[in-house]
Amino acid sequence: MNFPVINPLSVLPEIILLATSVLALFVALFLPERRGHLLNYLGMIGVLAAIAVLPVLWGKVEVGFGGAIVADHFAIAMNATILISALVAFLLGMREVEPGPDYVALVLWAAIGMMVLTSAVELLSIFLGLEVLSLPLYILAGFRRDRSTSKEAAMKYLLVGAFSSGIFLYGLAFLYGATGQVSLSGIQTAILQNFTSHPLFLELGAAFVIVGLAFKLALVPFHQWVPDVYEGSPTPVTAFMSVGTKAAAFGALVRILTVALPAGLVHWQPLIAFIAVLTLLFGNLAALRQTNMKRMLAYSGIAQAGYLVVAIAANSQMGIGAGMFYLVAYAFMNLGAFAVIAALSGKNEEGAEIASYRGLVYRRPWLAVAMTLFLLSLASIPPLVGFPGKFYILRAAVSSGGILLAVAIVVGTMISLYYYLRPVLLMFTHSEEASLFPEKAHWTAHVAVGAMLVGTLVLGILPGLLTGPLQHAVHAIYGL
Amino acid sequence: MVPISYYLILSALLFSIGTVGVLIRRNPLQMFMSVELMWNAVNLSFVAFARQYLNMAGHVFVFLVITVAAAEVAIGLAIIVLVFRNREHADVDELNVMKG
Repeated sequence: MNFPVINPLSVLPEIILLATSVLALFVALFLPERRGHLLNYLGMIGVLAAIAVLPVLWGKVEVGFGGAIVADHFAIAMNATILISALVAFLLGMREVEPGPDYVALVLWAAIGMMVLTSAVELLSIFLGLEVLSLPLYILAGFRRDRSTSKEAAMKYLLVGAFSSGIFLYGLAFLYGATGQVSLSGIQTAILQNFTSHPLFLELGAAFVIVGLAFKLALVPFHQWVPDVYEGSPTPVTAFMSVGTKAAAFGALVRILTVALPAGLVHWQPLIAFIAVLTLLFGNLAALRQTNMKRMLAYSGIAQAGYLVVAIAANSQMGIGAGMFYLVAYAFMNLGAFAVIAALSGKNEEGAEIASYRGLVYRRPWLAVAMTLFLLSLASIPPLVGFPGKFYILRAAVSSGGILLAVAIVVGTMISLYYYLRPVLLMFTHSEEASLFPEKAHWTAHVAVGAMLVGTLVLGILPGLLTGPLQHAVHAIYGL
Repeated sequence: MVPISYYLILSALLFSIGTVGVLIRRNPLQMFMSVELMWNAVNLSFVAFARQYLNMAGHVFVFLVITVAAAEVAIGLAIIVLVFRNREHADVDELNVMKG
């Protein structure tokens, strides 16, 4: 018999993160009390090292673990997004979460799960990736044990997360039962050669898998947990999970739907399109009446996930490419907005109430201007990165005949202008009240805001920097 | 030999009981047990399918699912204890600080 090839190169970034987390736990033994935040820098170094090896892996398609993991262009592009969000989690975590070895290790482990999920091409590794990302996030959501909202967020996230994992797992069981295969390409071959035990199993499997991932992606009607968990979790964790989990779940959904389940033979497209329209409209409408910034961004995140799913519903190369571009855009502008909230907050969440942003530009001009740009980008105003992102998705939807989807995007965007521009207006309104915010933020929070701002501006003006590499990523999915 | 459909129907029934349990129970421990029932119903399906196809992948899947479920229980119970330690009743409807 032949032993399967493990090939550590295929998981090199994951190995670096794992080594960093073990090192952090070990170093913590020798650190004096109240020096835990130094480990946060260690976490940053680990993440930066992992980002540094991505260009080396780019172009070599490393297959590992007997074909369960593939570090192709798609996986590497998604991993870059995930690593950026992990980096931001460390940059923002200096004040609010009292970082220690546990925070550093949990963030790194969640990032490993996300990265495995996007590189997994077998049902088993997909499931393991999903769980490795979920379990640390349950703990991170409740990381501020002294705050009742944080504990409540952990409880809700845990119950909904475990429930949705069960549904997802049942979907995987059906896909396995329909074809007898566990690799995505094997399932595709079995379907194309009509070697399936029962057609109902396939349809059920597709539906359960979509519903299970819809919970993770925060799609309507599986979104009820999102606002509470986003509001209750510490801000750095919210930023990390809003982008990282979405990237990972998007990657898994794209791989399963486009690689394993050809749309002509398994009818997932109507379900996805229906969920997309529902998500777009509901997310944008519910965001209108929020008074808490994090809660508003949670509903806006639901709406943004809707745009991503429209890209999947288009079921074309252009659609997948547009979805990936939008994901990167969402990462920069959303992480940026959360970074501003974290920079305005001290130990408690002073930066969360929208009302407290009144007149911010006169007191904290740099943060107010940055927040304005992030919100305008989320509302897809050119020349910021949200604009080309939405333009590509709109074009993909129209060119694949999804006129209704395109209309839903336009209507959703128009609604979203109201709630994105309201805080902007408040920030530029003069106010005599004294500032509620603590004196100054940790310098790393400013670094996070600045870096995200650079990404939002540069990719908004020169989207071509990203579209070239993403072309390769799309080809990796379609096996070109 | 018992036909595979029997196992699958039993599995679907257990899964449904678990789903309904999560939706109607309000005690977090009972909800969590219902989730475990869902997971184990899926395990039954995996084993049944693995027998049908005579390949080991389904069996391996079950072992990993059991491992992950154990980790999930460890974390889940810790969170439940953390949240409800200072309360008289364990009822998820009482977790209503955040609304909207």
